[in-house]
Amino acid sequence: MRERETTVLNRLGIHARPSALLVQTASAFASEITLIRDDLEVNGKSIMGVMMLAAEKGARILVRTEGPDEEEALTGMVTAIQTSFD
Amino acid sequence: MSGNSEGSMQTYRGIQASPGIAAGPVFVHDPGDPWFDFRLLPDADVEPEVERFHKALGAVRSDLQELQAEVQAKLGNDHAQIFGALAMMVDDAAMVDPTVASIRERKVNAEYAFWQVLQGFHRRFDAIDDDYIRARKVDIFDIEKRVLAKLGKQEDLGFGKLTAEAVVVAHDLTPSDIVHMDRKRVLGIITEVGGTTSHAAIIARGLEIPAVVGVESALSAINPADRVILDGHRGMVFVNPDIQTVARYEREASRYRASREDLTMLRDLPAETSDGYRVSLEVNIELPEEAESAISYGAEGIGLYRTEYLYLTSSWLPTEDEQFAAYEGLAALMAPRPLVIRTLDLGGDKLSYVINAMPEMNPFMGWRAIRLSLAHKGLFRAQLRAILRASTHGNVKIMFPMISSIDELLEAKAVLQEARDELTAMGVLFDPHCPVGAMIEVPSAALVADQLADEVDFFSIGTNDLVQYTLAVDRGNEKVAYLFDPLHPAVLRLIKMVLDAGHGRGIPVTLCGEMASDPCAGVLLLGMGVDGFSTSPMSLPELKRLVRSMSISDAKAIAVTALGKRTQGEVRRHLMESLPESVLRSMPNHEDTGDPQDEGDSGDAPTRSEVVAAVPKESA
Repeated sequence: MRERETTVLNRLGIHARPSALLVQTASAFASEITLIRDDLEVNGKSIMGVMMLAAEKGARILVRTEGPDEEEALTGMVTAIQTSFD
Repeated sequence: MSGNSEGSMQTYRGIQASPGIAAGPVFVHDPGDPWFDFRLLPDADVEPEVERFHKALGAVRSDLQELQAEVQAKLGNDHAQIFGALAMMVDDAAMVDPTVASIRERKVNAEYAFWQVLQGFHRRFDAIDDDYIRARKVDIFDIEKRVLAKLGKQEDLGFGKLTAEAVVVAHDLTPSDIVHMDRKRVLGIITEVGGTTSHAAIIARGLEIPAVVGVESALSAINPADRVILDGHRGMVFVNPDIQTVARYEREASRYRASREDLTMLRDLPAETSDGYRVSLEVNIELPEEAESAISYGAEGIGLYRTEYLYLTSSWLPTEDEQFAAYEGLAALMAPRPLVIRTLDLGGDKLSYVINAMPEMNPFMGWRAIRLSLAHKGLFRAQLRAILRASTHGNVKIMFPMISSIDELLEAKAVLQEARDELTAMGVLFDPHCPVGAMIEVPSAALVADQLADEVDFFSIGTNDLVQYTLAVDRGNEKVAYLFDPLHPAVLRLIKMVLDAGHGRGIPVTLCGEMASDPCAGVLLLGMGVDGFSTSPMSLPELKRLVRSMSISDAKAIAVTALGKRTQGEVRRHLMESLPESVLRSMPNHEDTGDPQDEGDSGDAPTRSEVVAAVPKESA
């Protein structure tokens, strides 16, 4: 199991389109991916879940991965959160 | 109000719209959302249902992917991405897994299972304190609609699908809704908006379907899986009623049936006071089927046939021949009893399929009824020709709605003459003495009733609208519906003015409207000298009993005193105190604490002082 905290950089926060990108990224990995914000935990592969995270710019999100490709999944997700938004 | 969890009874209050008791499953009519029903599945159908759900999801997914490709080509990546996001939602385990589990464990149909899961998402999204995210709800709605539509495979979201008896729950019911319902299956009606004189209420009474309107959050409170008891007398709705409530209402329902039977015994007796003063008792109808019910209640005629239903229930204008068929059928059925046919009383908005009408800010005071007819004389003449042709098949009378001035009336009469001339030229027969009357419902007409009386054969006072215009109250607006009171002295003075004007020129004046269903008003109007009443069929027996239990000399004295009162509250109290005992005894006790508890003494009638005490000191 791997964990890392990261910050949302996009000024609009995580909304439908970037959420889709995040979910797409997450779905490419075999590992379970959990995104945690404050005390809300959501499945990184669920678009509804990621939307509910409602993370605005500057929000801190903890990414947790568990599974065979957990290392790559972690890096991939953190990068996605930091760069997927324009 | 949040939806109730299964097992606990929820009670809601609304406005009593149509008496009676209904109990059964619900049919939620929410035209904004796709319609679906709630079904429990036999074991063998469960896995096929899961399969059906997956297929529907697949179909939605491919629709969205197609859309995405199209939008991508035309508008670029950004816009296309939203469809990609939606397509992803379709695969979202958070939506799919609970739905499949629900279908398997609870053995319910996919629509219901899916919808329930989505309600959960709606609620969770509502709780998020972020406008943008809450706005994402629209995406959830989109998916919901698409999937439900694929499951339901339907284009038409109307009432045709009412496959079993149910209590209909809706935001509001339009006349077309009601016409399209399979009325034999409608046990009762609950709407979120409306008052006692809105269309849904009037038609419910006409069809003798119990109804409660103005139940503000009915649609969010009531789910397709719920059962309800509807109490039309007290304006109450019990969702998933407990055992005691069910038992109480079973008793209540049989008591009600017994009292209706008593009243129908009055059917063949004349509407005559104890000292021999005779009034005519007629009914208002929208649909030809109501005529038979009217006759069974002892109606002496139809005092108002609202022809607009012919226009509202098809997607094209009724032709002259189609109208003639309807009018002639009714005239023949009622003959020799009179049939008063009112010409089209609709606004341009309802006829937008043929008439280029701009949306109006205030349609109630806008381009409607006689104004619309006079602006479209071709249509008007066609209706008048149809009525005239029907006049040889029964005792037909013509009535113009919303007359507001003498020149308007004269113009309408001129068009009528043109219609007569056209028929004469074609050699078509009609009754040349077919009486012509005016509905007095606009205050200006009441105030110049003396002028109008010279030009017509009868008046009919339309109290529903007269009260609205006079008191500036929209009867369909539940926030102000309480202000609607026909006993307001201003309304009474206008009625008196119309009666004096009509009688001064020897023409009969009838009262047409729900005002006469209230026994207090009935006494007053009788004493003021109305020649007849036209009301809903259900109100007829009570009204007849009222007339028969009084003397006209008493009624006159009561009226004189009532007209001297200052406020509607004082008028009502005086009238309540003057009602004959027999009438009081049969009135439902409107003082309601919310939970009729003591079934032990509910068989006892309230005493006069109890009933009078129940009237609010100053009714709004």
